[in-house]
Amino acid sequence: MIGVLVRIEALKTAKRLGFWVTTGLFAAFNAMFAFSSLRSDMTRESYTFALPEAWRTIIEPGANIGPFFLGVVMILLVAPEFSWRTARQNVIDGLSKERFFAGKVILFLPLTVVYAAIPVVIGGTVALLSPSETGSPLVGPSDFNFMIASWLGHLLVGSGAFLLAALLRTSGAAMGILFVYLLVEQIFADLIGRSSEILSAVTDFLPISTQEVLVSPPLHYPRVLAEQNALRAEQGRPLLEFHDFWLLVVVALAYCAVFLAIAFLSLRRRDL
Amino acid sequence: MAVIETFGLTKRYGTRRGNSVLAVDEVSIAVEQGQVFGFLGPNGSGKTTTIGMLVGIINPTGGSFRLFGASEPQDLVAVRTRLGATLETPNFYPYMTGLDNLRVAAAIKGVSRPRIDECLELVGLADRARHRFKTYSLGMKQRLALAATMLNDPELVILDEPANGLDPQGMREIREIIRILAGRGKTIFLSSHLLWEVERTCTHVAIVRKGRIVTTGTVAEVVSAGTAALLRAEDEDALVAALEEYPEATSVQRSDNGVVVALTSGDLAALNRYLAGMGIHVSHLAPYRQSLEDVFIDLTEGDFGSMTEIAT
Ligand SMILES: Nc1ncnc2c1ncn2[C@@H]1O[C@H](COP(=O)(O)OP(=O)(O)OP(=O)(O)O)[C@@H](O)[C@H]1O
Ligand SMILES: [Mg+2]
Repeated sequence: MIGVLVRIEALKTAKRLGFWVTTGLFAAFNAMFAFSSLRSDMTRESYTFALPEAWRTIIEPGANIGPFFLGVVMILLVAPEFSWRTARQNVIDGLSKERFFAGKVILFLPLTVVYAAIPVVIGGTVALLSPSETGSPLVGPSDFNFMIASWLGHLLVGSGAFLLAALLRTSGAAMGILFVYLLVEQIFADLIGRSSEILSAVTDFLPISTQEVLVSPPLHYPRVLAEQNALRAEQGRPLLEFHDFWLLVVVALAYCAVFLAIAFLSLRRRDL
Repeated sequence: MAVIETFGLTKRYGTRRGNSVLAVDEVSIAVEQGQVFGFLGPNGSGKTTTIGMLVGIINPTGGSFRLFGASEPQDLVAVRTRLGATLETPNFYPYMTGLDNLRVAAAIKGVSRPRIDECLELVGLADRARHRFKTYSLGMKQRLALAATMLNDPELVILDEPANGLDPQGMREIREIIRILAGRGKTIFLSSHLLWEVERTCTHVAIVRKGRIVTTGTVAEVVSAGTAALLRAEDEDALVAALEEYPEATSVQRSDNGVVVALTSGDLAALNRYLAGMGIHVSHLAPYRQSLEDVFIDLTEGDFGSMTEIAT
């Protein structure tokens, strides 16, 4: 059965122009970023965009915006199944609702990996072109954690977009809500966080906050943290403090599980 | 063996009391193997909803049903591989070609490539198979839906308004396909409001009105259940007025040839005596053979008011 689900989802996705355009834009963004970093290295003749130091620079932009490209892609691949009533047809043709859902999850999980890998592959390849002598593409433990964190961010935001698509069933509405939420979460967190200590601790773990903290370099690179805190101490600003990385990992995975579970229950309960 | 059985099947859309719609109300029907079963009803009478529950996309709010004897969710998923169905409008991926759309359906149904080509051939879409679905005309979309239905050579074919959007040629082809399938012992369940279509193709019918079954049986039974008479008189208005008062009359309609009255019993002598008693002398009184359409109109009259009233 899994083979069938893979086949139909692969066919639906491969033929979808919107998927290639969105993914292509994301890849192009990463390529542009990598090449411009390399070029500014060349003109300055100080090679900071060389592996292994460059991993941080390579992963960071993709880790920040990749989840939203993936969110758009998930909405494009899930919501129209309802507005075109093709989910209906799939079920009529013999796919149970449960299997239809499983097919979408089977599509989603590899896409999170692909999206998290795009910056690594493109940036890594470009960085290898750096004329720096010291280069070695070795991935250090901090780099590895950063990559995992980037992937978790994709998982978290992607599953949120998946949920919106499954609940709202039209891509326009789902994208609208996704982007409005992006804008209002911080405002909301500031508002309710101010009223009490406990609430402010909770707002640290709202979905977008969790994703943002996960992919902030000082969480993974002690040297960056030290640098930034030194700067903050100089300016008299409060020092950066982070929750434990593994706590953030658990929170991100829990969000993903809850979002997918709600999407599943909603699909099962509602008529197609 | 009954292929489809429903027991008090019910669907209420919406839960708020104010705006919930009772779309299907305790429908109990049985469709036996080999029957060509017509499911008739005016717009909004619950045909699509009933079929939607059978194919598993609409959750019933009451009652139950069996397909090939199966009623548990797990078993239903298994037996659904033995049916082919279309519901309302054809639902396909607009950006994919007809062929790729069928490849999706074929993968779900576990059908191989040659069968896809065969079905495309069968519905006359072979030369447009590599065009995108969104470029198809309505009739071509219907044909593709029919091809998808036939892919797994189903034992039970469920068609919701299959003739919708088809040209006369297409309608004839559908009729031909239904005849061939029935000849091969397949069971066919089709909803329609094209009554002459149903009368020509179906062996059995159920007429549904506002979610309730009003009559069911073989086409001959349903057509002859209500007897009717055709009458003419000098003063037609008085005749109609008198007939409308007649306790045995279920409907009175003027036609080009006179007045048609549908009766609960076939006793025309009693009708004649009644009219004579009212001082109306008829110039013509004869049994009238109703068509399925007459029965349908009798049983479902007045659901939406009359469109002709709006026009006049
Ligand atoms: N998703 C829905 N939500 C609310 N009400 C609905 C929904 N789908 C159908 N209905 C209502 O249920 C009733 C039956 O609709 P249904 O589509 O089953 O009728 P139908 O017999 O197929 O009509 P038609 O001949 O026009 O296709 C209608 O009153 C309709 O408005
Ligand atoms: Mg309908």
